[in-house]
Amino acid sequence: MIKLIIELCQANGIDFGFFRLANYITFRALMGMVFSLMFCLIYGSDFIVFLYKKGMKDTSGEASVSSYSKKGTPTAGGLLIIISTVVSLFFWGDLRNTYVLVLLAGFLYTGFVGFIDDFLKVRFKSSLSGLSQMGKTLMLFAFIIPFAIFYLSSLNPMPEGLKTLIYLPFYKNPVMALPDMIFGIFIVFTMFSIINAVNIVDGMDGLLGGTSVLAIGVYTVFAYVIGNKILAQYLLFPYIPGTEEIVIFCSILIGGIVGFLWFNTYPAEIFMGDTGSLAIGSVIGMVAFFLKQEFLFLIVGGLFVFEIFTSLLQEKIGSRLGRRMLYRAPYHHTLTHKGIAEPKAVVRLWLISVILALIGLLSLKIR
Amino acid sequence: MAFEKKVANSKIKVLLTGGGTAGHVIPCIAVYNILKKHFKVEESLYLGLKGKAEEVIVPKHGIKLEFIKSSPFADKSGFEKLKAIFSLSLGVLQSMGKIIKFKPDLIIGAGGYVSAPVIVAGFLLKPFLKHKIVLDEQNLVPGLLNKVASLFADTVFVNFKESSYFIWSNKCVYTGYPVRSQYLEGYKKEDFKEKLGIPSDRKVVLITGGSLGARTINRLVAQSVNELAGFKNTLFIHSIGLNTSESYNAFEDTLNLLKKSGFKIEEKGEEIRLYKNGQLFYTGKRFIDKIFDYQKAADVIVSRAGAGAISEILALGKPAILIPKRGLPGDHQELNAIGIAEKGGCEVLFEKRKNGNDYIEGQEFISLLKSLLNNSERMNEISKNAKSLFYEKGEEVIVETIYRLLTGKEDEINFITGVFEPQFVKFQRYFDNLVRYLYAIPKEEREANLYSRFYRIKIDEYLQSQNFMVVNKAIKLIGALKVEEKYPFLWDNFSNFKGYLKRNTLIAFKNAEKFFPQFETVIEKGIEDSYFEVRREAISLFIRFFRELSTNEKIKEKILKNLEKKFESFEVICESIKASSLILDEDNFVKMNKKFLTHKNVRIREALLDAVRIAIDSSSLSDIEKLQVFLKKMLITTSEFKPVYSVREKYFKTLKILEGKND
Repeated sequence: MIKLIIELCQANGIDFGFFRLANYITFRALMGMVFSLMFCLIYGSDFIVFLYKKGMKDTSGEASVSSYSKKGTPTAGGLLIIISTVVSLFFWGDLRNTYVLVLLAGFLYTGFVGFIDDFLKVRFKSSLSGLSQMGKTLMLFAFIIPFAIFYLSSLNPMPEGLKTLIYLPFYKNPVMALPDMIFGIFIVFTMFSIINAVNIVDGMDGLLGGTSVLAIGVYTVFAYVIGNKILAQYLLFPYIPGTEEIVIFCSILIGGIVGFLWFNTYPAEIFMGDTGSLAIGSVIGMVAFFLKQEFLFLIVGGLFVFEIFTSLLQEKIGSRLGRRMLYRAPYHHTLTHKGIAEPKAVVRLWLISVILALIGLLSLKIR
Repeated sequence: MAFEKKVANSKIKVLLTGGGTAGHVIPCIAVYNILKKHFKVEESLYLGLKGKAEEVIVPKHGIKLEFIKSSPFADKSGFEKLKAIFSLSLGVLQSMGKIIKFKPDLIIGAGGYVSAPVIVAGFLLKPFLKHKIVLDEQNLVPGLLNKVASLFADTVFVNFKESSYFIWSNKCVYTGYPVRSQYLEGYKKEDFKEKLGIPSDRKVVLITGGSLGARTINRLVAQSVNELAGFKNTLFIHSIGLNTSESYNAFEDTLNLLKKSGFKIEEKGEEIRLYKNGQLFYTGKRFIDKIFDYQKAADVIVSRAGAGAISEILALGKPAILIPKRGLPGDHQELNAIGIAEKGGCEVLFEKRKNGNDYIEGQEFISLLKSLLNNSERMNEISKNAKSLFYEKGEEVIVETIYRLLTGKEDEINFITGVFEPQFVKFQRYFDNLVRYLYAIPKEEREANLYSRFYRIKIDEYLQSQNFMVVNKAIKLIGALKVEEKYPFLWDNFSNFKGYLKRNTLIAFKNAEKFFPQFETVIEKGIEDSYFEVRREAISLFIRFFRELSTNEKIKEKILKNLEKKFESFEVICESIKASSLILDEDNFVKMNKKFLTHKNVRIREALLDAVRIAIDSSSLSDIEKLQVFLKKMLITTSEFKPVYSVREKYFKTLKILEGKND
């Protein structure tokens, strides 16, 4: 919005001097981040009270309400992230950019799916009565499949030929090119896995908030490099015009998540719910594809991958064998079971994410 | 006011639907009859399924009947589900056509899978035709399709207040069951005995299994007729039922069984009479036409636990023995009965299953009946409770609500607010909730507790399942209810069980009331299992029965070996440490466990403290000073803590104080 106004003014010969800064990606990214962060900090407390009054109270866990349990904490706090991101994006983003529009659409839709799930859980007073596995999958596919079609169609501003190439981290040349059809299946599978992996990590106060900020942060840096012609050439990345706006979107989202984390860290005053986790997962997935860095997720999102691996191991193999494969699944529950308190486990997993993020950043230069 | 009068006097058209079984059709017609009494019903139409109960019942009441397609949805697998969806959507289209043609003012659906498509169709046409939709739900737990349909209805009439918990719509109105008007009048038992020609000092037991008859009840009666003959001055009236299907002919089957009893039998067409010493003590009829006369004359009623039967009994305030039918969707008859029995409104007998046949134990039935008939205080109490459970204002509420709906005063309707979570829901939602509850039942109450009785019968059913997770449930129940006659099954099959089952078997044994020698072999097997939770529980079981097992050196040796192992699960090591405090003397205990004093894992250090506690409690270690010195070297830095949310703590304390003051 602000960019649009400045451009309009400049076209009409009005010069704002200082506000020319708005043409710079870094300026808008940082302003957007601060804006969404401040938005969360200012309206967060009221928002928590609002959710509480609306009866969006978490019912997970079967223990009865006691002074030790967190039952009854407001949930669906992902709405706060979504609202702050959308408002900030309205001011600082450039909504003429195709990538931003698609990101926004996916972000809102998956957030909506998550909200339905949260709402059902709250309405029917049980963590088991949300959307069924099938229902959730179908609703996600209703977004993922159109996304894959968009990605492969001519609507995607990415240079032709680049779309279906496979790049690996730490290797500068594409390893292979896949046929459209197979790459489409690859998109569907990967997106679905990423969204679910991110969703599963959301099980402790502040865990997903911290780890996803780091993952998105790395992708933001990559987006800045890939969207900048000179830097991309210098670091031997394929230059993809338009991806610089992804920097804005991601940094605004980071601001929103950090602002949410303010209230969500242990002991949580509000839970993200599926509203937040699905929306964040879908953004990470889409950005990975827009930047052609799908396999980077295995590194920067290594924690997510590991968590869903443990969860699937238990669900698919363990339940068939009739035994626990780990002490508890997904893995973060194993930590508390072993006697590491929740806040400590969360910080440790954050630190692991930091290490993974640094390795991810290394792949910028080592190629 | 003038407008209201106009609506009440103006003619209305009613579209009825609901069916599959008589249990859905009869209440629908009952609501219709109430409407006919208070409104001017110009025309009515019933949408039902071909070949179901409605085909027989509806024409008798002079209502036009038309058929649509529908199909049940829940409990179907993948492809079947698609077929059901297709058939349901076809039903929706069909009913849309019928609704457009009929143009009703009011649509009343009474559950059963036929009503769902009609209600959806009604909802879709609502903006154009301006009718109102009412759903009548009789069962405590509605089926899936009814839950969905409730979202499209303007009002849902419920028979139990708790139903509002299950129904997705929040527009429930508590009406109770719409019973026939004969049940609402005051009456005197003696008058009806006289009317039926029974001496007023004779006790009457009415046994009925619904209009079709219930095999379990019929066989129970026929097989225990010798004992029944022993009841003094009591007349048994038995409604045998109309069922003449290939698999079961109610009347013939009962007659054949009765012939074996050796009493003098008089067979008169539709009626069987049995005499003992020349006195009539049993009358079995194929069908009792004016059942309410008999119900009113009865001292005790033995009946199925369908919503209709229960409501009639409650309305009359009769002491009853309910025999819920087993294996119905969601166990709804059993739950209905438990719901009443919990409030002291009836006695319950649960069906058991053997070789695919449901049965009731005759002895149990006879002793319950005897104790009930001989205890008039208990009968009065049940009677009083039953009467108080019946909601008498049903008719009034139905009329008022429909009147308000038709006059557009929906905001005046008294919808149920507040959520009642019935206890069994908590149990069904999460099986461990149930197990925890059952564990907590004191020994003396275990026989009488309804849930304990109900789930004890379930054990057999679960054990026969092919799915090991269902067998797992049975094992948990065996443990919680301490069913000792099932223990042999557990230890015989222990080696073939999967991980969870082994673990839960050991937990079940751990909670046993006394020691069985077979536990020893189970522990020996368990302690070498490949699954860590089994090893853990095996040691835990050893600790529980240490006194009996203290001579088994083999187990002790294996446990002590665990303390040396490097790659053992910490859960197993924790239990081994606890066990070691019982096995070893002070010196060896201190020596072997020294390395755990500064172990990295908090849980292991915690176990060390537990071990010392166990040792002192069982006085196996007595050198307190040595233990003190030992524990002083312990690393007590921890990575774990339990939070206390002070606001929450004060909140619950304050609430408790307030509650205390209110009492």
